[in-house]
Amino acid sequence: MLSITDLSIAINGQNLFLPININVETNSITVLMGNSGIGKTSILNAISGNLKYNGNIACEKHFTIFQDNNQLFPWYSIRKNLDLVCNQTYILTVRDWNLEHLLDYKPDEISGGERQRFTLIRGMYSGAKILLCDEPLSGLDSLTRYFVLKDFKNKITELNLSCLWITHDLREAKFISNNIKLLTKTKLLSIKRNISEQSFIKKLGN
Amino acid sequence: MSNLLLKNWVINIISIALLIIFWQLLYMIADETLVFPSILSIVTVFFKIIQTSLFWQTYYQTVITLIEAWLITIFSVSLSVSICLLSPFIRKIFEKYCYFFMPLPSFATIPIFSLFFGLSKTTMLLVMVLSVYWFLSYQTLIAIDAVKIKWNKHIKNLNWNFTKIFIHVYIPASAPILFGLNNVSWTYIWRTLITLEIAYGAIGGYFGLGSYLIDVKNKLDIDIMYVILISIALTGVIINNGFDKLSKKFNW
Repeated sequence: MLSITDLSIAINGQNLFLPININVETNSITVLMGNSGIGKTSILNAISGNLKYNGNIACEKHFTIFQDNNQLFPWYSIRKNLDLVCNQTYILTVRDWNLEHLLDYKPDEISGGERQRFTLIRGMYSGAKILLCDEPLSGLDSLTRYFVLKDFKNKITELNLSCLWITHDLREAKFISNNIKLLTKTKLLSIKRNISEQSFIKKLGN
Repeated sequence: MSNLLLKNWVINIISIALLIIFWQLLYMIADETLVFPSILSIVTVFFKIIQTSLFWQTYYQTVITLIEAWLITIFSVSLSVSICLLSPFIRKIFEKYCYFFMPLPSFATIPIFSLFFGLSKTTMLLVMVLSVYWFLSYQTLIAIDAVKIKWNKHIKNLNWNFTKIFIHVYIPASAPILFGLNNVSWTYIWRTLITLEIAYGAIGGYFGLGSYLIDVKNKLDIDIMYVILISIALTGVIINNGFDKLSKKFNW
């Protein structure tokens, strides 16, 4: 479980947002949305221990999937990358996501989208209890993304994980999440999963 | 056609041909066979010289000294960098020494070392190591910093111990930079070695390619002098090529 209380992050002495609270329950996916630069990635960095913050963060063993898409070690094959980190069998998911033929390639030899999927698999089977994902599928086409999201959602329950997922795509958020949170400068809003795009944009602008 | 001209082997052939033409022009203009022997006579002497045991003895002496100096350098730099990584305080002190000693020409230390070891191979080795030690240590520390900055946030994910991080991340991640540094540093050592051999000639039984070069020059065997010069240049090219190929394998 991930529990964040009174979290605030200051960059150059300026608070990015007013103190917020977030709870992510086991077997659930919480999606965090908000305008660019509002501090979503900073929250992930704070949880991962890469950024100073004020407040309390209680987090079980976690694995962060950063946006930069370069988490796999380029000197090892994908298989070795997975073997080094995963402590559970990942091969079924690799097969399901149609990636098995790429296992012996080096990360530089595959596409960005394929790298993203392998990074996600590595996180899922790393033995971590919480996944922190910063737009982890931004490089995928809609169809593949839909398929991966669907399977990922099932795997979260199957593997007993929790996930804090950042995205800018409302449809993706609605599809994958149990809870949607919208971060603004003044507060963290809970958004209903059936919210229309117009209402969402209005809230985003407030 | 323009694509063909840019091919590596074409460039190699053209550059060698241009050198030969330039040399032959000098040979004809100077009309002084003692200073500028013809290409043909240099090539003839080259094949004669490489059949003599003296040439291979001096060659062996030089290459072995180069390898010794290179190994001592790698060992001492690795040791210093490892110690620096143990404590930020030691690192600060070491960086201060790098700052002091990097601009100091290693040749300036010859008088000091010769006080202790005379003009011997030990003095040569120390001067060669010092020609690159401070630069290489400093740059290696900077390279490791760059690797840490790039990979630390990913490493935090993995909950690995230091040994596992060192083996699977720090060493491979810094390999391209370290190989690049090695390519620069071995040339410094090589240049210092040849310069020392030329400057000091035969030192206490030591007789390398540079010593041979100055010896034949003194005997006015100018053809042989050029042959040795070519051998020195070729050796540099071969070693550089080897290191280049090796570093390409670690280029990620």
